[in-house]
Amino acid sequence: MKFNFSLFTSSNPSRRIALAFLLALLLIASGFVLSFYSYSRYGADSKRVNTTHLITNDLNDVLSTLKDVETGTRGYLISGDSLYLESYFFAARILPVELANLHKSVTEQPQRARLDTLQKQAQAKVAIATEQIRYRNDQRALQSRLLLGKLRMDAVRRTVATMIAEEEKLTQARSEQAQKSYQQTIVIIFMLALLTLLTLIATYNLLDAELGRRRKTEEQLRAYEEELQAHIRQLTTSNEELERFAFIASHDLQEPLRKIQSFAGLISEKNKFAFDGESSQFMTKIVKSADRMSRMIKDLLDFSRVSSQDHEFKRVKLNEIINRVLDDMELRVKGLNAEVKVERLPALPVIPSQMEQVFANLISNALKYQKPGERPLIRITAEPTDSVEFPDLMPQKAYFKISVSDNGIGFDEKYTEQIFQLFQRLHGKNAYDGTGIGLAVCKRIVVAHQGFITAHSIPGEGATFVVVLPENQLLPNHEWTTDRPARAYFAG
Amino acid sequence: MNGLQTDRPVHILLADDDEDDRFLVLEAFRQQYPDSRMTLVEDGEELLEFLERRQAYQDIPPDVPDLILLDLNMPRVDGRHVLRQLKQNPSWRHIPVVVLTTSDAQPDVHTSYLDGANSFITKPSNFQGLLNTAHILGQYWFKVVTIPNRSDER
Repeated sequence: MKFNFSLFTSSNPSRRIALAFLLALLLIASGFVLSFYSYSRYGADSKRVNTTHLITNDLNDVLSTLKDVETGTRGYLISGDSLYLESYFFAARILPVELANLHKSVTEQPQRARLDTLQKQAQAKVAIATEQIRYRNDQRALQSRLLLGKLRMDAVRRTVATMIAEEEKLTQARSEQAQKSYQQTIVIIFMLALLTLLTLIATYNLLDAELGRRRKTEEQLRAYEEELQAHIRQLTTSNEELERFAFIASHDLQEPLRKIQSFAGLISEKNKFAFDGESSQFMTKIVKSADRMSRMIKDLLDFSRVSSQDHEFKRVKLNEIINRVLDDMELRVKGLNAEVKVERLPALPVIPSQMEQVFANLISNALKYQKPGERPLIRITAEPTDSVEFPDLMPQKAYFKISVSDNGIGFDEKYTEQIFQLFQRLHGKNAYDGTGIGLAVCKRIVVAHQGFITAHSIPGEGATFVVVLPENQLLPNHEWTTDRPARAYFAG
Repeated sequence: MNGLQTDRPVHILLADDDEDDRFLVLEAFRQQYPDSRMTLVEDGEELLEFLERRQAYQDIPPDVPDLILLDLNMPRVDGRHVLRQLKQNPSWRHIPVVVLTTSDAQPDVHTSYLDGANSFITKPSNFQGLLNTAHILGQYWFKVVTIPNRSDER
């Protein structure tokens, strides 16, 4: 069964379920209130019927008391025996009590007016009886008073009969009314119970649908997760294979190259004096080319090693790392008369050897691409940053931006993407030495650190390389060793 | 070039599976130290056969080399295994062993020294470098450093 309540068309299922429960509760509560009301109404009606019985009894009592008065009076009149007057005196005494009782019970008009009439009639009856007793010896006066006594007694009888009839009529009307409202209450309670039941069924349907929906979502999520895990495993495997391939290829490619270099060298050595100028130039070209290829392979090996070796993240002051790099480059820095300014840098969780490589490459580049005739100036600064500045970063995570700026030749910013790619160079190898792998290694390392690298430049005025690193590393160690984390925002 | 002014010719044992490398090293040493003597073996097994005078070396008179140049990656018994054997054997422990390999991987360097290698050299990539290495090795082991005299040993 499906129920459609316009109240529950709210788009939020939890809200709808809560509303349905609230409605069911309200219905149950109104059922309770109605039942209670009906019960107390029934009580009042019963009390009313009892009162009617009481009034009828009291009226009959009054009547019988007056009868006793008449009987007692008549007995005395006939016999002259004052013994008969006992019931007269008793009745005269009890009558006001009975009338007072009636006054308490009868509260509604027109019965109340009738009661007043009855009271007067009863008092008149007692008064005439008293006169009858007084004129016992005066036949004439007694005759007229006997007739009057009968007439007054008849009046009392009539009033009592009218009142009793009225009470019965009232009782009947009331009990009919009570019966009717009782039936109505039953119907309403039944309807309420039915409504409650329907609401509960609707709520159950809603809950069931919601549960089903959640179960389905959960299953779907689990399926996605499994799919993702499978992809990650696949990626990890293919990554490992690629790294192994790169390592082996670099290693095995080195061998024949070394031979070419060595034997070319040996030939040059042996024929030092036999070669003409051109031949020895060719030999030099062979050696140089082999040398260059060897260096490229070595760099490629370094590149593949970035992720293939076991690394441990350690929180290290970047100043320490940069000081070590500058120590290694001391001769070159002094030789170029370069000025290197390093500001206070934060301590971040890094793989120290890799971060050393990053800054060695960046500083080495800054020293390499200098403007001739100008004193090289390198500045290394750090400041906090987040995903607002770099949308590729994870939101709500703290990062530091470390900038390495120089006053060198710079580059055209349209090549920014390109310079971080493997073997991509912007200059001829004769102008600036290099294999075009340094920045690719930097990028690989920074990405493995869940970070981000970019560069800005104005040609002829210098370049700034920006390394963004997270303040904290979140993932467990083993997940860092794959070269690209399975997160889209770090790709590219 | 510079001769090694020792009483008798220096004897160097070279273990390398690569024929070209054996040739190049031999050539480099011959150019630097023409009066040195060099024995060439192709793998660890042959090196042990030579030292123990087994197989092809049965009839050669006992002759402990003054210096062993050892490649790491070789078939049959590789250099790592031979290095451990050499350094665990009391009769050979004193012989300086220089690892001469294409590898420059830190784990190789580390374990080689742990196993008792006296030096670790990554093969130079050109002949000039090899000549240089041969020169320095000769100067160091036979001029600068004093090593046990072969005749005193056995």
